[in-house]
Amino acid sequence: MTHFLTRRLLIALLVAFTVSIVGFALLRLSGDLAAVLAGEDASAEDIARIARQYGLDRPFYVQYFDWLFNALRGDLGNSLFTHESVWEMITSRLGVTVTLAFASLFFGLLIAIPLGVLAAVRANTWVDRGSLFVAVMGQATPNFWLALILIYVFGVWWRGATVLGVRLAEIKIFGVQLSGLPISGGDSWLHFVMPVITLATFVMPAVMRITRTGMMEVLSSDYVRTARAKGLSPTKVLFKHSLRNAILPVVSLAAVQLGFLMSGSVIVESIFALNGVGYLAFQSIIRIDFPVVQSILVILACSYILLTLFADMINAKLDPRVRLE
Amino acid sequence: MAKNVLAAATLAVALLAGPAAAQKAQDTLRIAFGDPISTTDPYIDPKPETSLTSDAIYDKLFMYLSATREFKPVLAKSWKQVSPTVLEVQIREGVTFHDGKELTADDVVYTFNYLTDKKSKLRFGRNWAWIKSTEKTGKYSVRITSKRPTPFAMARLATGTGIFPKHLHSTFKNRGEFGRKSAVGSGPYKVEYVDASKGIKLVRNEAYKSPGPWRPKPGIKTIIIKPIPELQTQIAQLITGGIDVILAAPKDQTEQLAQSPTVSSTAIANTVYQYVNLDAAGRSDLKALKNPDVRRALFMAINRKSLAENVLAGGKLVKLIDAPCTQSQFGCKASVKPVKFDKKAAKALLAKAGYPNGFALDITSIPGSHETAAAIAGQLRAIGVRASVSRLTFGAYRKKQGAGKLQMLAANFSSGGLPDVSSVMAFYQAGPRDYWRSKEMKTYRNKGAAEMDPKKREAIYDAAFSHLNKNAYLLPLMTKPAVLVHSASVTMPNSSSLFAGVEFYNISWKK
Amino acid sequence: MTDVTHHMPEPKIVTSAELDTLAPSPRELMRRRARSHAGLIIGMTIIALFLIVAIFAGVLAPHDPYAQTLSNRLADPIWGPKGNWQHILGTDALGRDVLSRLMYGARLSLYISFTAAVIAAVIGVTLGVTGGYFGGKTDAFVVYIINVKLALPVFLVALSIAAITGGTVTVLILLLGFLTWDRYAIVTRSLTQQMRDQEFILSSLAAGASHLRIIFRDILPNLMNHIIIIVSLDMAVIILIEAALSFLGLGIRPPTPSWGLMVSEARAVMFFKPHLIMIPGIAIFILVMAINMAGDGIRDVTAPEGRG
Repeated sequence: MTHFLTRRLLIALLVAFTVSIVGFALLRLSGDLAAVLAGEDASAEDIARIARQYGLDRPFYVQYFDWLFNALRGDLGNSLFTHESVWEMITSRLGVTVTLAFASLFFGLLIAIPLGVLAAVRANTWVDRGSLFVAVMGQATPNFWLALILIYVFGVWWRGATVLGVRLAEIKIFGVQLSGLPISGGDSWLHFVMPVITLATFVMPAVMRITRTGMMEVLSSDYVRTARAKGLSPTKVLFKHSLRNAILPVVSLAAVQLGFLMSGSVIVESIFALNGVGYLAFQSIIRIDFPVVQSILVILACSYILLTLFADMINAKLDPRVRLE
Repeated sequence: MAKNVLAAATLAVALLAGPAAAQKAQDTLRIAFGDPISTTDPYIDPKPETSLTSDAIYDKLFMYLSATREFKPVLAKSWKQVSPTVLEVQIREGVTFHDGKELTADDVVYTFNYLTDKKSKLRFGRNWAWIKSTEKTGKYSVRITSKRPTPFAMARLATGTGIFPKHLHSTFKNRGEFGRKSAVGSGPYKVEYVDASKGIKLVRNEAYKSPGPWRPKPGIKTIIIKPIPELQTQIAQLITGGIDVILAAPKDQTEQLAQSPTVSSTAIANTVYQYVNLDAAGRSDLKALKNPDVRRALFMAINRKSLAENVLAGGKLVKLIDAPCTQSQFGCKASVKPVKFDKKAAKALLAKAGYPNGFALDITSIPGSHETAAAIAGQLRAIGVRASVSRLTFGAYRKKQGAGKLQMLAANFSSGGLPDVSSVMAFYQAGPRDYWRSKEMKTYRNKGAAEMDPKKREAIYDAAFSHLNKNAYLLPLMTKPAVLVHSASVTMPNSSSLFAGVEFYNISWKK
Repeated sequence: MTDVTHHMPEPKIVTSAELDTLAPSPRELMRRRARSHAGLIIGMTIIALFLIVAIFAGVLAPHDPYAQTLSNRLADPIWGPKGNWQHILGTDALGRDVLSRLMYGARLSLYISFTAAVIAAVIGVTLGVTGGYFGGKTDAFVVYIINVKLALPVFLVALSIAAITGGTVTVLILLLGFLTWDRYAIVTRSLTQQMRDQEFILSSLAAGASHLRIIFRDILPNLMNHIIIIVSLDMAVIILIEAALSFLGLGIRPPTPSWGLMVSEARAVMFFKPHLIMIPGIAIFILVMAINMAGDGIRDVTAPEGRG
């Protein structure tokens, strides 16, 4: 196990290192950083001066290694545009993004797994087809479109709408007035409702399908048929023997989804005004604030790798066959 | 049911249900900012939105009123240009910072030295690079010496040059933290908090001693600035009463929103304008643009009036301009006007120049000019020029510009809000930005920057802009006023010295 | 996932060749499953419809999708108060006919997604098969490349590429191809690994066949089904990514009609003319759904017990 771990960690480091180089190159090639810093009406001399000031006139590899050596010592530098410490900028926003990612994953799984199991157990019936249809619908909806529609429906239309004589704004669910759903900011859990719905819709379909497929495989396996033949109750068979094995691929998928959620929440964060790492990354990329982008890239790469590592470990624990790698 | 009727009806109902009245009772105005919020320091973060907060928090020496074209005192009591390079300023006595300490010449000297110090590493340090030295000549007087005669010196000091408290600013090792953690000035508003998630909260400075009606004590007690990146979310918040002011919405939305009784829009004239620049020097692959007839033909195909009426918000304040500057700027005049719109003649001229079947053209646009560029592309297609738009970020555009790859550029420029065209002349011709490579234009630029006599300067710039129009290097389009969309219980002024929006102390509740 | 036993072979004259196997051939089984698979049929039909519209957009579209009339902007669709048959779906913010742009947009969506999916397939399959077949250091390298790709955020790559090269349709297709090859690589690598140790490969090797021959003759054909399925699902994903990139301003350049760009342009007026944002959004939705259903259907039909 230790050998497995160390090997994976080494790969992780190598990947993180590569990502930071590729990211650095792409970022610096994407625009004239000195010109952005110098502003709209800067002359050539001004830009050259800024380039010298910020060390942008040095060869790329020198700039990269300068950043790398500082980063390895723990100094991630300051934002070129706000002079804030990069570490502070990222950590103050990490909470929002992580909350968003985990909540979306959680609710996605909450809906997807039971649905997948149900579809597998009732394979080829309308229940199965219906769930598949729901899954496909979720996969086909562009998330930015869904977010805007949610804002329109729950943020604006709901407040004034009257359906069948009932003022929709006054309906309450779990004691929360639906018209009270905030559409921007991140102060309370209410602010996360619509963002999480948007992202969970994206997570849910793939998980549901994999659960269903895995479950169907297990249900038709010899092992389960034997258990059934022995007379064990169907529920016991279902949960104890089938679900455990069917979940294996879900764990890996969940890890991958989580990774995507962490780096892919840009659109949701910007539309719902959530101050998270995703939006920070997007803004920083646009204006080539490279200390911020570099650090976020590496952090995201590492978290993605750690997540897949974690998933592999869980898989290894649940399925003895996997351990022999 | 007609979707539009439904939309309009629900909007109206939603608006009526908004808690705008409650905000007035609490004397709190909520404004939405689109860019991320990090600081109130305009030197560290010279963004348009930052200029709005910094202007409310930090006083400057004087300010410029474009309506009357004169400078008014703010922190300065009086001033005198004793020689072409020396400006002497008397500072008002009894002005205090928000923490109670008195503002003196020490703070002015400290601030200017900070601005001119290379170690400060300010992005826009060049704005004050003309200052040679700032000396204290008394407890309330300073002498500012410039390296060369600088006609726009006062204009620069009146624009975004707030005075910082020496006793606080100098204590920060990372000076960038000042505008975030300890934003103290002597202006009409005090800072309660600056936070990337919560925004900025400003509270009226009750101890503010107004220098005059041009910078009065504010009418609104509390201003909360909320960061909302997505425009649609801002609008949704405005509609439902979550915020009271949006700084910029596109034309169609502005008009639709203003139709409601609880929302108004106010257009404010400023120094921003839109223009189209061509690669007359032939730096890009499109050599056709070197031909002045081709350039004239392209410009003749652009219906500026239609653009002004249909693309930009601001109604009457969207004015066609004859030179790449706005009326509030000194020296903005062109005796020779740009070519007139004439589609048929444009096509004929293009054919005469050797392109009867047109050619492919790449139009580059930057944030703020995308709609205009898209409309122009459509207009050019009508005469056979196959135009498409490259919508770039600012960084990508500067890179493309420097590499000589721009063919047609449709963009906006604000002159940094400076009420003087000298920055305009420098803007288009500085090294990698020069797509004209015209000896005459360079001469005009240098002469205008050195001439101290106002009348002579005007004549120089007039000749320069006329030359521009004659050779169709650049087509000035129209002014781009700041259009604020806000709750109807708020009254906005219709002029402003800040190009990004309006001075906070000039906003008041409707009686 | 229909039960095979429900389809008994019909009585007919059998030739001597067919006498060997009275049970229906796998291909025949597939065809039968295909005929009764609702999802596959619906999906394929919808795709066919979109394909027809895309190919014949020049004839079907009532207007030039680029023709703008600034005086007739945001005109109502046919169900609106001032709607008319001139512009059935109304006009957009620059006065261009929405229906025409929608039709040409279909062309663009299908063209871009298919081409990009093929490019992604070429890249991904090459890497996956190489790694899975040769194993050892080559495989470690392939795994490393896959991980680097997965760890890089989509929008960074998109923004940089768009800024560096100028954002033409060709560049966009290459970019999209580079963004989605990982699934091909992962799946083909895993399958190739499984196949490598099987008898038919080992016997080919013993017979002296070169690696390249084995890959092209023995391995790739067996991967085709899976690749086709992934291509179909990849096309759906690519359409969504293109829409998102256009939404962020990094995708198709105006004035080219693309559905993603139409959604992006329509959000400026979404509260007042919601149909402008709904229509292209629904178009994306329907096409993506159809492709997914078809892809699922193909998978069900070709490998009913497999995981895919």
